[in-house]
Amino acid sequence: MTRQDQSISSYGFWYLVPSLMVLIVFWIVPLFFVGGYSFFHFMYGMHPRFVGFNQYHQLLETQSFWQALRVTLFFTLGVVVVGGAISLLFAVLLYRGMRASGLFRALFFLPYVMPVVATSTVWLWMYQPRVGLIDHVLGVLGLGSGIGWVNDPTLALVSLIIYTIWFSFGFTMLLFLAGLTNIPRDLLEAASVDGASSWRQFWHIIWPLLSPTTLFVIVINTINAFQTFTQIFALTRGGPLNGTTTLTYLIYETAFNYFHFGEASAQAVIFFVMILGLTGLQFWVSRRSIYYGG
Amino acid sequence: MHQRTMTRIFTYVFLALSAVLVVFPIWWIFATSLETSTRAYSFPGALLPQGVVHNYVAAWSLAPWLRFLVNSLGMGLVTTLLALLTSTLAAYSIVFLPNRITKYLLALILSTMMIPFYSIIVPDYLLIRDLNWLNTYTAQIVPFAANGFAVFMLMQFMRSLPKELWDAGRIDGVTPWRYLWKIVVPNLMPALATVSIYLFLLSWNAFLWPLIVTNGPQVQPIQVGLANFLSTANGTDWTVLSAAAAITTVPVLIFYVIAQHKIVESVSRTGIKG
Repeated sequence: MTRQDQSISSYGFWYLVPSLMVLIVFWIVPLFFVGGYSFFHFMYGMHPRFVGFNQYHQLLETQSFWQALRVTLFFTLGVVVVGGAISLLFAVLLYRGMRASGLFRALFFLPYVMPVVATSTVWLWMYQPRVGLIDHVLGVLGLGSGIGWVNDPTLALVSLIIYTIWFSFGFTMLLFLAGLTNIPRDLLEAASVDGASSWRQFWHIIWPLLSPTTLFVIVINTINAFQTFTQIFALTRGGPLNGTTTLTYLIYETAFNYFHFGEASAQAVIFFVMILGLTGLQFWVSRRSIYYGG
Repeated sequence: MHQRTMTRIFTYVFLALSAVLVVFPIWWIFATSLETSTRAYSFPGALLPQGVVHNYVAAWSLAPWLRFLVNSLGMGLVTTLLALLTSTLAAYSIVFLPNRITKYLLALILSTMMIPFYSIIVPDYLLIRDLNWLNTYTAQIVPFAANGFAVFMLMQFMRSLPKELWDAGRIDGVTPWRYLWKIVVPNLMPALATVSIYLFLLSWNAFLWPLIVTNGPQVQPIQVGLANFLSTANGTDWTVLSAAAAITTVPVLIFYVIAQHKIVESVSRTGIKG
């Protein structure tokens, strides 16, 4: 670098100031505050009182916290594994150079860009027992009726997973498609000439070569699933009987329905640490995929 | 050969059926909204909608939908423009004007990508309250006027610009400020569009934050407006609720039909780098 370049580089700082101001004030400093709050008994309109690790101890002893953790994990597992498999299936089908694959891609991706509250509304309507469409159709097929898709605590979580897969599988499909384009087509053609069936081609060529993408998809979808909120609010409000209260919904409820800011902060710290672990995993995975992705 | 054709046909049929199933709920919003409630609640009812419009009249009169829409669009545009500006400046500084201090500041900026917004809503809410920003546009725009991920993406794009151009500019005595606006920005238009779509969707889909910092329709975005409508309209007909949902869906549908190609590209790109 020349001396002139160095003198110019000293301006560089000022170009960073706008970003820094916003990010420090609204993102970085609050992170330290949330850590601080978690040690205080702090309710709306009350003077905060230092309680040390008490709130963490209490959290680990309350059932609702563990319940929220279980719900979060079950929800994440459902969305990531089942949704991932469906997305991969469609990605592979579309990758095989179909005519009109662009149209299918656009249609499968459509739910992802629709307002979540609007599509949650129609699903809630379809999930209604007796008057909803799903119940009607099941009734006509003789598969039972009056099923409480969103009124039964266990089923509600499944319904939430179904909605989430419907709305997000197109996004995951695009990630897989991007990964598939890195696989050399001649490899598949050669295998095809040698008489390998589609099934064998998938397990022996596509699946191993796609593994960096698959890992990446699993991590990014896990992070997304962990941070789900809108459809829970619109479909079930965390109910019935907290059957769909995930960690994010619990934080919201604790802070803004019960105004226990301190307790919500302790929950938020635990949530942050979990996401941090997942993000660390993501960076590790994406570093790997640069080496292997070709 | 024959078997291949069969597989092809089977695949097409499977894809077509899946597409119908996937699009169906969106169509069902409109079908229900165009139906009388007696027919909508029975089967097959709205599968062939009658085309009544009174649900729209009812829904339109019950909430200020136009206001919600303008709020969402306006805040989306302003947030996108501001975040695009701050991120372009930051990325430019890192790529073209690096020095010892900015290296550490970059780490600080990028570290915010790891902070889930849900973990900081309590202090952010209290900050907004103390700033007296509750129930304003400002509260919904300013915290998102910078974005670590956008900086990260723009850096990647700027690094792909030929370095010789910069050296030539230095020799000709072009100031960094002019170089940014005359050379870098015009050459990065496709990248800026990609990042803009990412930023706009982020703002458009914001829900929890506007839910907690607003309490009136004057400044609320459309999704929060719809959610409030649903919860206060308890007992209201599903046909009217569907009409409300349809009102919020139409602008997005139009936008998607126009910009579908670019949106799909932007999302798969930003998703990959995310």
